[in-house]
Amino acid sequence: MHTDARTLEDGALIEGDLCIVGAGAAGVSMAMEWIGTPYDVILLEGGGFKYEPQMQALYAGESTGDPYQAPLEVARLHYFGGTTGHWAGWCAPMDPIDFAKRDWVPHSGWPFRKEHLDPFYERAQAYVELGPYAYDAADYEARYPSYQRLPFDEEKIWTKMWQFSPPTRFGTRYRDAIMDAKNLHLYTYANVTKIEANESVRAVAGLQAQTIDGKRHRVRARRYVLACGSIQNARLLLASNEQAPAGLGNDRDLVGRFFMEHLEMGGAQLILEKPDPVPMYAFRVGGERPPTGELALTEQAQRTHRILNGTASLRPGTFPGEMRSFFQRFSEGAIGRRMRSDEQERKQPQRTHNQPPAPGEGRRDYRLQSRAEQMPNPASRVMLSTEKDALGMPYADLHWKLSELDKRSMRTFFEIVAHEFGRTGLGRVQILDWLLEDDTAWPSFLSGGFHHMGSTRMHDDPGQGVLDANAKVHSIENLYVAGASAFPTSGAPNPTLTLIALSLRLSDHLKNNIG
Amino acid sequence: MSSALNKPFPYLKTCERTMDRRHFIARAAAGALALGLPGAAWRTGPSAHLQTLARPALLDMLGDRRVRGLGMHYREMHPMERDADILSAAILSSDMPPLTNGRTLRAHLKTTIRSDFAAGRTVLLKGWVLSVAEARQCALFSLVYP
Repeated sequence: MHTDARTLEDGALIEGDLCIVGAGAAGVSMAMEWIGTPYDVILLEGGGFKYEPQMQALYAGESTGDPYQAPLEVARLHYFGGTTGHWAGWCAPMDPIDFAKRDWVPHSGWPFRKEHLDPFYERAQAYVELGPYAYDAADYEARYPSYQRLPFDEEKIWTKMWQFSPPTRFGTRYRDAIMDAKNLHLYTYANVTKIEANESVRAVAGLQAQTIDGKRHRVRARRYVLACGSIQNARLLLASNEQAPAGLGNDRDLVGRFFMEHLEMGGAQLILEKPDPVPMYAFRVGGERPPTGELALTEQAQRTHRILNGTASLRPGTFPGEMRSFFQRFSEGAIGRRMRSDEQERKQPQRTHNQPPAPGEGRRDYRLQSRAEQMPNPASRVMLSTEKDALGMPYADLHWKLSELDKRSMRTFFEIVAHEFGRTGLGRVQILDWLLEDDTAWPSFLSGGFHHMGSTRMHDDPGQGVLDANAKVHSIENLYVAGASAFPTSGAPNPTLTLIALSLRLSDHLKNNIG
Repeated sequence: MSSALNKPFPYLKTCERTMDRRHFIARAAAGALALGLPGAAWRTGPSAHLQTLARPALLDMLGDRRVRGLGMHYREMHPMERDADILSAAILSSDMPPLTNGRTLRAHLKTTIRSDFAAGRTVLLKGWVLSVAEARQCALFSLVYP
């Protein structure tokens, strides 16, 4: 079922068993899990079914830390399907070491191991229309005759495989299933602006939802799940500050902290001794894509050098003299076009099929592009602005802060890669100037991947995390968080597959505990 | 390599600290003897072996201009290694096998370079991570083919 909240009478009461706030990858995948159950599920989406500047503007905010050079309202899509509306489809699970407590990485460690999440990863594959849960490079070498791993020291560099979602646009792919489900009620244009707690501030009593035309509705459920993304989840908790002055669930001043991104930037230039298309590592954009590999740091190398995780893709060509960031490309007049990839795809249904490169197509020059873990940093945080949006809710400002370890890790990674290319005689690597400078300085083309993580991290200890191991807010009985804001650490892979796996895990937990 | 990477490119510091001019000259003489060349040959023009030493395999990957630039940069960083005798001797290791022709010399250099990378004997020149031996070859190239 679906209702446009703007058509409800002012002051309407919406009731159900479970209320999911946000209809992006996390919220939609969770909602899909509840279809056909005996429970009434409410799915609240702040936007409609397409990109609208007025709705998008509700996600605006200032960047006050290290330069986050894309407007915040560009980084997330505010309509049904969320940011899957323009994601690129890169999928890989995090590595076992990403879940471990590492004595050289402050605040590292998840409340469970990767093995625990594997069954959920396997289920998540289907939501993004991937093949089997198989990420072993050897399997793909056996399957694709042209695939051959670079012969690097397996104690230093391994080949991490990626699968590609079409990419699944959740707003298109799951719209009918959700609209047709009898026990699931989607409300669009229902922006939650406040979470109301009970008298003891131990449980959520209800939500306030507003429409852009000024109507205010109330939502009541037995369990509530925030699935609005790292910035908006934190914003909503912090802005719910009438009963809890620091914000709901923020007794320990942790809400909004540990915001993380992946550092996706040019790190080094590779020249191969002989032209080679390196098919296993071929960088492909859009359309049907066979799995591809990236160079990745082994667990042993991370331990030896006391650095963060990271991978590097091989992208054909040479870096230009003047580097531009991914962020900058989104900020220079192409926002609207890039924001609506799903609509463009409907107009252009023919996708490019990526053919494997033929022998002789190879080249010698490749750009090594990083995909690096960011150290969990309490100073990297989401905060409330003093300015308010059209609904009267404070904007969220972002204070993104990187660390010396972030840069040292990237530099060391590329040093190791350079030594392996030299040792094997396959090529030589030039580390870019910016990585060789002071470890606290970042270049003008500093860039992330629009991967927002952290801000309501999980930890068994309420003093170190907003959520417990089940993604429930420690101090609130019936409030949960789905999505990448629950990540204690970021790993290197793009977060979508992991955040869906976490949502499915939370969904199972709720089914077993909703009573 | 792992310990070397903890302190990036430590070889440079080691080299600067331990290799004085007298040491280089001694090695240069040893290198000349190993090549079976009269000392005068090193001073009067490139011999066949010197030409091999002075033409790093890197030329094929990076091109003359870039290799020359790297070589000049190396010489600026290492004032003690500014002449061909010293560089030639430094490139040739003490365990060098008898070199009967250019092919064996090139094979020896290839092995030396890979060993350098494996052992972390690398230098950083304008961002390029190079084996010490090939960096010296670049320097020699910039001297012999200015």
